[in-house]
Amino acid sequence: MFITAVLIAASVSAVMVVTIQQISLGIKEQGDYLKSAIATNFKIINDPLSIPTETVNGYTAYVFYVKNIGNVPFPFTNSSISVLIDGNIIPPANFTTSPSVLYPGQVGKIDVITTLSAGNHRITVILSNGISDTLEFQI
Amino acid sequence: MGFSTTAAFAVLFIAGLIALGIMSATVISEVRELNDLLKAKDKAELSLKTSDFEIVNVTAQNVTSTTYNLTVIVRDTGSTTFNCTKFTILVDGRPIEFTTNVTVLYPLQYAKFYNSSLSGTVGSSHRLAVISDNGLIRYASFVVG
Repeated sequence: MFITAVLIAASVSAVMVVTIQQISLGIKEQGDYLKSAIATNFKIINDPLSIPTETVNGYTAYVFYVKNIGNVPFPFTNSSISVLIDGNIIPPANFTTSPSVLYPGQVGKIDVITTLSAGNHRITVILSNGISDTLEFQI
Repeated sequence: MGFSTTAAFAVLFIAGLIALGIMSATVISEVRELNDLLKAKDKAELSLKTSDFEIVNVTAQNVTSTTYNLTVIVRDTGSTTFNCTKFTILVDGRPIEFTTNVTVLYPLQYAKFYNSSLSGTVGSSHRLAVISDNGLIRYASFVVG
């Protein structure tokens, strides 16, 4: 009777400790995500009336500059950021970025291969943690 | 029966204490770090609201028929300091390299940014954008003289 009671209590305790440990890990992951989101900040710094172009693989690419004005570096590749122009997502194959990690104070470059008509447009850049910035510009 | 119950509750109590220890260590650590970051973010937002600068003067003087020197003078008109080494300058939409006479720009003080190898002929007009370390942008236009 005594052994059975202790075994049941030990089993319940083990389940409880493991569950609490998993909840703690979840809290830590959520905390890490929140910390990343709070410390990350960036700005598209282009002159809206003067968007430069470059030739990339034979195509005309519009060049956008992004400055890290936050406190932490963030990944800056075409698989870690999303680019929307006039609400349409640009496929990762149609834009290139450099460098691959953007440190605080550093300026990164996005070459977007697309066709834009003369007039006003809007670009939105979204990082992997959901932080975004938008710039309205004129071609 | 009485002793079994006591032993079972003792085991559960110890396990509860361990679980509480694990949980509180994580929660306290995360809350502390989040609190520090939120304070830093509030400070940065306040800094952005109280920081300002203006482009006081732009001088573009030709060196050869196709190149010119660019000197940009900015003044800190806010109440915070800027890190001049983290400024970005765009001419005609493209970033340029520059040297500066000060590394930290204090309120009401001036900073000079200089580049000696830009392409442009005499009489050509250009657009200038100066971006501070915290993301403030000021624009100007100039003509190469």
